[in-house]
Amino acid sequence: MMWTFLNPFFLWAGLAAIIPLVLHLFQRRKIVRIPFSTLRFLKLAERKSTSRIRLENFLLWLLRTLLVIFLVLAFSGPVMRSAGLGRWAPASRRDLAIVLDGSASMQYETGFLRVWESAVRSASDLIQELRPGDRASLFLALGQPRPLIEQPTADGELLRTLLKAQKPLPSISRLKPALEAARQSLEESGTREREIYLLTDGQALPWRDFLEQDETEGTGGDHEITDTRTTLFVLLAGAEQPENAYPLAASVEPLLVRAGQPARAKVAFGFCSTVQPTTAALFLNDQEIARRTVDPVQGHIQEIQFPIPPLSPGRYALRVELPPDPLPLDDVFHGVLNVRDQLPVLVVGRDHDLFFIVRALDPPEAPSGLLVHTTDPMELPDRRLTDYACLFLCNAIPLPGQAIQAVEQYVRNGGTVVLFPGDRGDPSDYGPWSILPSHPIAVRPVSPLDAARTLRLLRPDDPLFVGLRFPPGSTPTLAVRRRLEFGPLHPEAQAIIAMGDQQPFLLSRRVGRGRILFCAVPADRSWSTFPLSPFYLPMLHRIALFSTGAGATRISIEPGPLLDVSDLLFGLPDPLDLITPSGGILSVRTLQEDGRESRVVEKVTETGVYRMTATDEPLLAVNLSREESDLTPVNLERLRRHPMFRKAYFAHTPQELLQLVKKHRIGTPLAELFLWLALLTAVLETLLASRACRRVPSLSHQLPLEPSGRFSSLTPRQPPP
Amino acid sequence: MAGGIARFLTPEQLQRLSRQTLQSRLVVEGNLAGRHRSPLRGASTEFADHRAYIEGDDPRRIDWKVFARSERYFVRRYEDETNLRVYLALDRSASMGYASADRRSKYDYACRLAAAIGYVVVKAKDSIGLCLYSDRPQVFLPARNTLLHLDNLLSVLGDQPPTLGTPTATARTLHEMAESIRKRALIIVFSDLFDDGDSIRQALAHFRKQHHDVILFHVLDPDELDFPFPRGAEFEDMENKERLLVDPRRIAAEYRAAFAQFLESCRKCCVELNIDYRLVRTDQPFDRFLRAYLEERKRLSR
Repeated sequence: MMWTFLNPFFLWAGLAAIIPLVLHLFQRRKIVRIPFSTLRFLKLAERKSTSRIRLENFLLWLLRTLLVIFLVLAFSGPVMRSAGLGRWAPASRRDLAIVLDGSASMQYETGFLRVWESAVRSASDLIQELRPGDRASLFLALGQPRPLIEQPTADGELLRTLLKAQKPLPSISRLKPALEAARQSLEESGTREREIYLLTDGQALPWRDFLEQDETEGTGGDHEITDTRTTLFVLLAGAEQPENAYPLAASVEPLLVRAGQPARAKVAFGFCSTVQPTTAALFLNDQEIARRTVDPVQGHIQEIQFPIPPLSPGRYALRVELPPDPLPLDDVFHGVLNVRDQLPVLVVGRDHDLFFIVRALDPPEAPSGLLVHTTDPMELPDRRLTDYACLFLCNAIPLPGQAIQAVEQYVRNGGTVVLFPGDRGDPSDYGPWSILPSHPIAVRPVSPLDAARTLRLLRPDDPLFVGLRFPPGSTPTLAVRRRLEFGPLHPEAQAIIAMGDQQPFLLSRRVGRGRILFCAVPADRSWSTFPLSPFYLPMLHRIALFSTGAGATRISIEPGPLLDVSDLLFGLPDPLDLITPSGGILSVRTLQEDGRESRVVEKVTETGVYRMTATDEPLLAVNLSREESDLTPVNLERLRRHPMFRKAYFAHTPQELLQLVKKHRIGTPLAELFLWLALLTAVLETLLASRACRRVPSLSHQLPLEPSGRFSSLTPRQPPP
Repeated sequence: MAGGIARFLTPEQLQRLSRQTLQSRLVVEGNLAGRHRSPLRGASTEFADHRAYIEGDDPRRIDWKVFARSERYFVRRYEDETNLRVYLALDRSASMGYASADRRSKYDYACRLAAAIGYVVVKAKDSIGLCLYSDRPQVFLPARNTLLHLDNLLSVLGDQPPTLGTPTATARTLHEMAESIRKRALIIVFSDLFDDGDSIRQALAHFRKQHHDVILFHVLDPDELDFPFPRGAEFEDMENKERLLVDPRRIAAEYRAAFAQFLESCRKCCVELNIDYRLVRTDQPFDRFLRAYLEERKRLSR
């Protein structure tokens, strides 16, 4: 903390502080001499009052001197400056780092302006305030900070041009790395003063990195944002109680929407603050098909179902829309609905081995939507496997080498193969296979006493089991007479269902873009009662749906630099290009990683529906992360208590920010304070002086003197009013 | 009227004073017959006692009623009445010359008071004497009962006002007076008593030991009581020229406390010695004070 004076020449008046002393000395010299009858009683009185008078004299001198000093200070315009400023602050040079929150929530509209526009205007004002020699850097706070001008520059025009070229992105923002980047950019400032300006909307989300830290632990190993030379100014330009209603997430049931069958879309709505009841509409290919009332309850998520009428096969652009609110960016939720005709699956095996599986995949009383084809293992090489969504091998081993190659290629291209063992082959027949999760080493008989086995999900989060529901009251138990004993698992393989304690029941391995599943028992009753168990049918259906991509639980993705969209683009040929919502082209790339292929898209920033270039069919839907929709304001008091922000200045409007900046640069004027102190000192001096010269009752009034000169004793009398 | 009396008293005051008397509370010894009680037996109408008849006694004084009862001769004796001898002891030290604004000095006030008392005494055919002193007795006039003597006495008082730098020795003077006045008399002291308290007490006790009746007029200026000076000044002692710089407002409370203690000690001392102590303020009319005092004294002496 330091002081400067707006009128330093007034400090010369401080010499007036010696006036009381001079007056005192002067009065001593100008003495009135009074002859008095005797000094006897004066000496007595003085002896008794000397110490008191000395103390009173000292206090009076002190108060009078202070009074003069306070007056001089008040007129000299003292300004208390914060520690962040240099000694010669009015003439010092400073480096600024402007950090602009570029998240989607900055598009919130407050009155006539969006928060973003307020922030940009505030940044422009700050650039306008740059004085010769001042420099500024510019950062955009997103998920990762984006430096627009990393090294501080004095080129205000460049700064303004860059600033105007920016716009908020459909992204979240994290302020901590952005502030850290700004701090680092100012490290080379030398003796200059440093100021960091963070222009954001006040949403709590970007501050999460700071507030999740335990405040009592201080900053830990983090760098302090503020120090003796760096000052942080924060503009929280958003509304104090922002209102926002938004579709949070959407899903479609059933997972496999078949042509001609009704379905429904389940949409979850989120709310921020208290908003009025509103209506949400569901659109398919820009045609409204349903409308529902949404009655918001703050802090709750409301789920609403929209009916989807029977549709013909194809992909549909699905859109859930709310009326526009202050943050229109998240009022629309995009999705792609894939309506399929019957899914062809191929079951390989001999007829007596296929009885249970064919009836499970295509139960006559409840059409599953699967078109089941069967073939003999010897005829497998003649089949074009790419025509099928899934391949079930039931007691089909051994297979000819040509067939093995075809099956392995099918898996690598994205197909799903399920292997069920049987009596035909022995473990050595699995030797030529290169994509198995594990090579079986023996067929083990199981003791009748140990036959009852309970199936246990080892990987409940596996996409195969998401949404898998067993019939009510059923327990996944089966009786096993024989089982396949597996050797060591391939590094990329994993057991996803266990039989009993640790024995694997179903193994899985991803190969290329596909997957191979290996069951420990056959698909018929020869080794176990698996076909009779209540989860035989749902499990086979889940496998079939998953293998066709219908098992993908998502109908949209969020923006990102590199997104895996294999599940959403399953079955589509390579190469594949997409038309972005704004008309640009986005290529789908195939990525090889650890022997596994995946289809990815890069630098997806635009929200909306992406279509196939050839057919204009909707393929991908990209939605803004709904994290940004939660506009809950940051707790400013908590923020102020945070160790890293105790020396920061917070403003809610650009004008307030400028005032804070000016106040910081100029300082806090203390003239008024000193005037008050002078007044207080004057009052104290008056009180003390009055007390020192207080009137005490005269002896004449105390003396009960009779006219004849007699008095009995000295008793106090009240002085006359 | 002679010059000395006229200097201090106006005819109207003299006229008012002519009706006043000064009574001694104790027996006194005079050399003339008067109306004051004497320790001797005399020819008054106040019966004192009997004594055996001796040859040469006037037979008219034999108490025949006693003879009838006892068949022995006794003569009746009566109390003697004598005149009063009053001595004025007046302090003319420098401190008695102090006078606050628009007031008489203490000395002047004491002189007027002495003149009035002298006039009352002489008018009653009593004698009045004077001892004027500062650090030592300077004038001693024996007691006479003539107006001429009073006039001379007052002329002496008027001609010798206090002079600055004159110290006081009240106690020593009173001792000397007590030694020199052999017969019982009324001693009236006019002083501000700015002397050592114990010494004054001993001197007053000396008077009482000699069976003198003592009146002490403690003459003070109101400023000495209240110390009402408004601003700081250097005060100079009128007797020893000592100087002291003080702010009167700052020490007024302590001054008044000390002075009150002084007055109280004087009063207590006089009460213990059966001395008539009166505090006289120079701001009160002296004739009114004297009238009140004499009437009270007359009332108490009955």
